[in-house]
Amino acid sequence: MTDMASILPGLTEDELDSLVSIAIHRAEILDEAQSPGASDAWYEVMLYEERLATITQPEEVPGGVARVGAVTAALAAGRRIEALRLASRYLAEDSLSPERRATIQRALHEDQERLALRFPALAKSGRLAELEEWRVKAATDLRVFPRAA
Amino acid sequence: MMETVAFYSYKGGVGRTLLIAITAQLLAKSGRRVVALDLDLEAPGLAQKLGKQGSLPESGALIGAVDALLGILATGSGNESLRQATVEIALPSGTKGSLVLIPAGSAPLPAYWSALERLTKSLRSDDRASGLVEAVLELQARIATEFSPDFLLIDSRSGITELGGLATSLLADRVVCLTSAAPESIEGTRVVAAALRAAPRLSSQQPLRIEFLLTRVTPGALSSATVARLIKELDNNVAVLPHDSTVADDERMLSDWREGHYPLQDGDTGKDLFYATHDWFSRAFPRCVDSPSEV
Repeated sequence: MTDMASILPGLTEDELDSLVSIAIHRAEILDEAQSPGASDAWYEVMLYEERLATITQPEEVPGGVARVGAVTAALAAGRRIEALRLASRYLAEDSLSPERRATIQRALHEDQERLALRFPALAKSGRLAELEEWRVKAATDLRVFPRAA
Repeated sequence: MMETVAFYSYKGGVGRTLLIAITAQLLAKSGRRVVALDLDLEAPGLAQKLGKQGSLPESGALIGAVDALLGILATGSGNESLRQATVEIALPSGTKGSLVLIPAGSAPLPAYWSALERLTKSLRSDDRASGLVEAVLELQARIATEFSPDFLLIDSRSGITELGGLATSLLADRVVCLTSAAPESIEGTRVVAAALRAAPRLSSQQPLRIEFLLTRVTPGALSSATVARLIKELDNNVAVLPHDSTVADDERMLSDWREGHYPLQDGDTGKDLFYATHDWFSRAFPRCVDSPSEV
């Protein structure tokens, strides 16, 4: 997957559009089949969408779609740190439309709600919300029990 | 408010599980509600130390941490009571507190290892919805909700492992690090302690407290300059528990202590260990102590 990230800058917008369509279709099929490979498939979608977001403007339709797609694909891949990083970056763009902005925020909120249903005692304790910040700190500090982060 | 104390050792064979069993009983005796959780999943032993090894049912009935974590990770089954996964430890009559054990599971029965394998696989393939971190924090939160204990004592896996890292750096309010006087054990403990001190915490958590305990120390073991230097580098305040060659049977000793048969006379089996342990306990849990003469 790292190799893929390195070739993305050489691809055109059209090529990325084609690849992301195929990747989304594949991820959806794997998701439906509850395949363990679905996570990686969504991560691939995220990489394409993130690259598309880089080469498109937030106020344009393709740019808005790519930004929303990158965040939702990251969440679908279980890459919450990536999702938060991308959302933080896109939401800071003034020209992103209110609708796209709301969609990104709703996706993050729904993800938190899914987690809260799954881990009700943790959510009730208030620590579920704290966990995102902890993850970011743990992921950037490799001195600390790297296998735990 | 529940205090979570994780017992950790860089290497095994230092009496970690034994000390948890003793600590749990002393805390319960002082009137505290205690839950003891065995997260040494690959080599569980807390049930044995608390005299419950033979009474655990086959895995499949919900029993122990592995089954509880599997239940938490299985979507939609997260609301089952943890009480099914626990074992109440009988204490001498008149004991004001309580002691509940959450064993790792029904090890060494084959069904336990199958359940552990399922858990390991589940955690490996479950990264999409997060997994281990949320699951262990959920387990801890449910323990707090269902049992309202004063103390949660965790037997944490030795070495550097994923679950051990979480138990010590994230679940714990306090970590008791045990080490023998062997240089490699002290040095490993120092490295882990440095990692723990740098470990990120949840924003609502206090800084992690780390305490050190040198165990099974034989006469003369601390006279080596190398060992003395390593201990000094570890911490200025390292408690010491002696090796007590008169203790031939940990379980028998614990059973005696549980029933109130304490080695108080010269020549009693385990007397040195008893007093040293009590001394450590009184400093580690100063508000929960009865004097040895009263035990």
